[in-house]
Amino acid sequence: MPFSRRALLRSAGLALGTATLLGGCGPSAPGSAPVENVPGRLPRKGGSLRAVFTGGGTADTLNPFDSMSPVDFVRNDVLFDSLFSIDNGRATPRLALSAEPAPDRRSFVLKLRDGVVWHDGSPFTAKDVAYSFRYMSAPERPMPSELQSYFDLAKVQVRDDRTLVVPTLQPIGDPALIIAAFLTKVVKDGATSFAPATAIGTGPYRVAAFDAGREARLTRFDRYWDSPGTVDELVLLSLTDPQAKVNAVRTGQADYAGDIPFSMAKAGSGSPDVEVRTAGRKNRVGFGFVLNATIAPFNDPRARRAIRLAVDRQSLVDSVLLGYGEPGNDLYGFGTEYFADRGPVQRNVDEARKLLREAGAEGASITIRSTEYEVGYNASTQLLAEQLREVGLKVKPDIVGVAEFFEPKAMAASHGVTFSIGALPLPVTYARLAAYPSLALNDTQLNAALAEGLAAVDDAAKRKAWTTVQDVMADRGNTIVWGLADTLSLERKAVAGVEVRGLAKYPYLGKAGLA
Amino acid sequence: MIRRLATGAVLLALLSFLVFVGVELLPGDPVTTRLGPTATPERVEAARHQLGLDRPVLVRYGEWVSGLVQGDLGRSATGKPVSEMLSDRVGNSVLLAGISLVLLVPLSLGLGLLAATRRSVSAGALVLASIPEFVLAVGLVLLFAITLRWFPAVSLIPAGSSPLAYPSALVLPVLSLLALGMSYAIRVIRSTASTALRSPHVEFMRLNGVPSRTVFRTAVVPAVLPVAVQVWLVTGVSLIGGGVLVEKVFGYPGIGELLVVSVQSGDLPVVQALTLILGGAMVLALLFADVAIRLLTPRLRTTS
Amino acid sequence: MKRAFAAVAALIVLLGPEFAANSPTKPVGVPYSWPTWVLPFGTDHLGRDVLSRMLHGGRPLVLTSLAAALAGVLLGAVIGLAVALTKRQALMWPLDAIAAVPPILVLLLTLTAMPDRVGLVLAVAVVGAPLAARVTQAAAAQVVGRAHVEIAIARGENWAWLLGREILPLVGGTVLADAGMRFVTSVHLVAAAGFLGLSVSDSDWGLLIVEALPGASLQPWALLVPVLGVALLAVSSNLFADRVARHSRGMLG
Repeated sequence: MPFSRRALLRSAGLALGTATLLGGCGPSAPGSAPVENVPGRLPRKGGSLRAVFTGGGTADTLNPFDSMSPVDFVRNDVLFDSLFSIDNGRATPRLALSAEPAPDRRSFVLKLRDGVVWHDGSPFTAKDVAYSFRYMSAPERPMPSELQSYFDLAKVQVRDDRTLVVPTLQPIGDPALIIAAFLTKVVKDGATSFAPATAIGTGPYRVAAFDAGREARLTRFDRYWDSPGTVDELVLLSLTDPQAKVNAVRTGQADYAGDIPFSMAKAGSGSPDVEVRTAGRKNRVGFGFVLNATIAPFNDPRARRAIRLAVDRQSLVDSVLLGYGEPGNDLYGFGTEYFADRGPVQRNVDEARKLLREAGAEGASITIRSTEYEVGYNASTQLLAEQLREVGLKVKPDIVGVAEFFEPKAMAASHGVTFSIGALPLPVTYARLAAYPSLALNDTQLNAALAEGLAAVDDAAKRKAWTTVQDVMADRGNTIVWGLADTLSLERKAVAGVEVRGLAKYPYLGKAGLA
Repeated sequence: MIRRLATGAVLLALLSFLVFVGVELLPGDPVTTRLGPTATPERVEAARHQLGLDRPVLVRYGEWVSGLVQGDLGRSATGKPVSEMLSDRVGNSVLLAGISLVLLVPLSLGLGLLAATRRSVSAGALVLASIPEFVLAVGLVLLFAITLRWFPAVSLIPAGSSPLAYPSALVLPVLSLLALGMSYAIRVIRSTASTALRSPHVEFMRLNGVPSRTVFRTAVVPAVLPVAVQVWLVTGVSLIGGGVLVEKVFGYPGIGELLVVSVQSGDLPVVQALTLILGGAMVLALLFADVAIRLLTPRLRTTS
Repeated sequence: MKRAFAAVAALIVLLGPEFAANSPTKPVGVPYSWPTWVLPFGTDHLGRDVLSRMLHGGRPLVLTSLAAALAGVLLGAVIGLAVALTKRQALMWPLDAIAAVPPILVLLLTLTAMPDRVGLVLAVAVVGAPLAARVTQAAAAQVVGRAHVEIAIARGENWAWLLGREILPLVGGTVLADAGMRFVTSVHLVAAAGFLGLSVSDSDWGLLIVEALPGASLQPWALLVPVLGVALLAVSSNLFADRVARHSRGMLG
């Protein structure tokens, strides 16, 4: 049965009309600059706050040591307290009061806070901390804590109810910073199950209901040792699709959506009582590439330098970050203590070509491995490939699934990988890079300075060591941090009291509420 | 009948083996994903050993099957029992597919018969079929949720509640699924109906001045029904797993999202269990379809 | 007239890359710019020319879908014919087992294992084969029972002759019509692969749609153009399938 052309066109025209209606009818106003989330506005007590974060579906968990997705980190951060947390790049005491290194820096004394109670009313003691150390680092756990690379957790001694002595595996000058950086949550002595009824913490909120991949309903814990939570009920929603997160806030189904993609921020809030906010400049995340310095051509420092000269940072910032950020200076760790305040390298295509020629890498074919770990990874890799073509390199972006990205053999065979690190303290930032052989830079001066930085106690010694580390990285390093990206959220204007403790992607909602 | 059941069982066994081995070949593995970039090779090995991933495939397949027989779907790579992860998710997806099917049956029959005589309806179905369902779902959200605010944009169902308690959250996902299943059903019903309309029997009725309604009721619909029932059953089941992209757009707590997440994170046991459940449902649907055809087709009813 | 139009459309899709003014991968302007005379459909989320990306993306989409549809139909037709001629239903079991798995899952699994064009073709072919086999088997079963075929069998003609002279000419139309349907499914699956982040091309239309979704309100043309492209492709191949089906029905009738 032949269709008359008219019948077909009528149906097609209808579809086209609908599509045009949906797409909007003219250029939308350029997204206004995001509003910085500044402390100071006080939320009012009571009511409820609904916040949505990216979740891991049914893999969402109340076990603070199994947290994988943003919603896990945010939720478990208000249920369980840390010993120390990171505020403005420094360790801030939470359940611990201090971590004093011994004179030889081979152990430290951990002093705990008094008057803390668990959600079930029992008192918090050193036994809980000793158990948490053991539990988080147990080898049979799927993800044993990285803390065991620094501390000898099998030999922790409980001196009294408020004091522990922890031996370290190498001289460590600022144990509190290491504890804070590796998310050292404290669970109750003997805890093995983390169902809604058994996920007992000391945090400002406790679990009322939990459904993995859907939501957690948390209620305020009134006997909290610090100033108690603001809202009566904190609802944390778990979604996997970024557009769905944004839609939930736009249509009033939620008050806050964390870590939204740049394009959706650019599209504007879509509602007069909703706005796009940023966690601020000092919380910007370093976006970049790590070159594999163990194989040719990037085992030659000249080839590494050539890439730095070939990258057009501003164009990447404009295209990938849509302007929500600034060019980077090739070093990870922006916004943290002792970060080297250098300017970005200026693009110089001729010099880059010359260096590549000297390194014998002219016209080389290289692969850069990437996955959409964060929005923009793949786009930045594609653009890098275009930019490096201008210096004669043939770049093949190797875009893979998230599950296989860290496959060790493939990582070792790639000439570079796409990588980002948020505002984590420098010891942790460099530990992260050193953990993977193909991401590490094996340099005698660098390794000595890294150990020195870890062992240093006083400010001047730390500054000296970290300056050396970053001088080496700037001179012959394998990291190319082309941009510093804003962490953006979509919030109802009334939302207040959201804090950053560590990474802005996982804000602390213990004091958040509606003004 | 027994033969069909036996065939179904063979199919399921074949399916389970194909899936088990197929999933095995995936490059990503749950351990490297979970441990991330900072894991040392020794820790990766230890974790693989702990999860039993270093044993031969056939051994694990055997264990899995014997677990299945005892009603145990195994443990996910995240450490949770698979049955616990699946329980209400499967129910939610079946609910969504079920509601869509209930609407789809009369709509597709009516529109399919109409399309056999009206070209514009047929062309409409064609255009509908040509738009990918996730684009349609996004369009529905933009129009009915963001602009008009009639229905929620996201299916945020509170912990422990059934989506049935929140009917307004079901409207847009059901509409998207309906569009996904509808075009195929309309096409099949249309083509069966137009064949029936051209049959000598119908021509004879027409020439004898039998009213059009009666022709449809007594000749066309009986000819269409056996095929339509088969299409409905198969479509209904395929909507359970086929709504993956729709569920993703709406953040609906069904198995779609679970499927995508577990394949991408290499969570073997979940993928295997889901495939078996969906495949089993499809095998059952085909079985029912066979029975339905026998009951609805007079010729087959007498010969069997 | 209609044929000339179709030929021109096919030429544009297949030779598109030659007409493109810009590179499909290199940014030419500010992200999400609106259409201008130079860039008739504006730029996408990275500032690349949407028109050039469309022109570059048609060929991979069409060729991938075509290859997948043909591979699926071929596999299905061979098995379908074999079942119809030998009456051994068990040959169909492996395909039935695969047919029970949701297509999206087959796509996810195959593309996770083989994230390239071969994997995509394989996945879509595997998804299409069971239906193609059923259709072929049904069509061939009708033919096998006919007098001229039974006479040929009684004459002791060999299988090749039977297939080539008696069966294929009658079944061919149905198989071709089915190939049209498989092609539409292939186009959608290739697009869906893009939506799931599993695209294997720099610029196929499915990927264009997916990339444009987040910024749809900033630059709707970047979304509308590929959506219309996919829709037109699907509608025209459906029409083609219908026409072939009608034609073959005439032959069978």
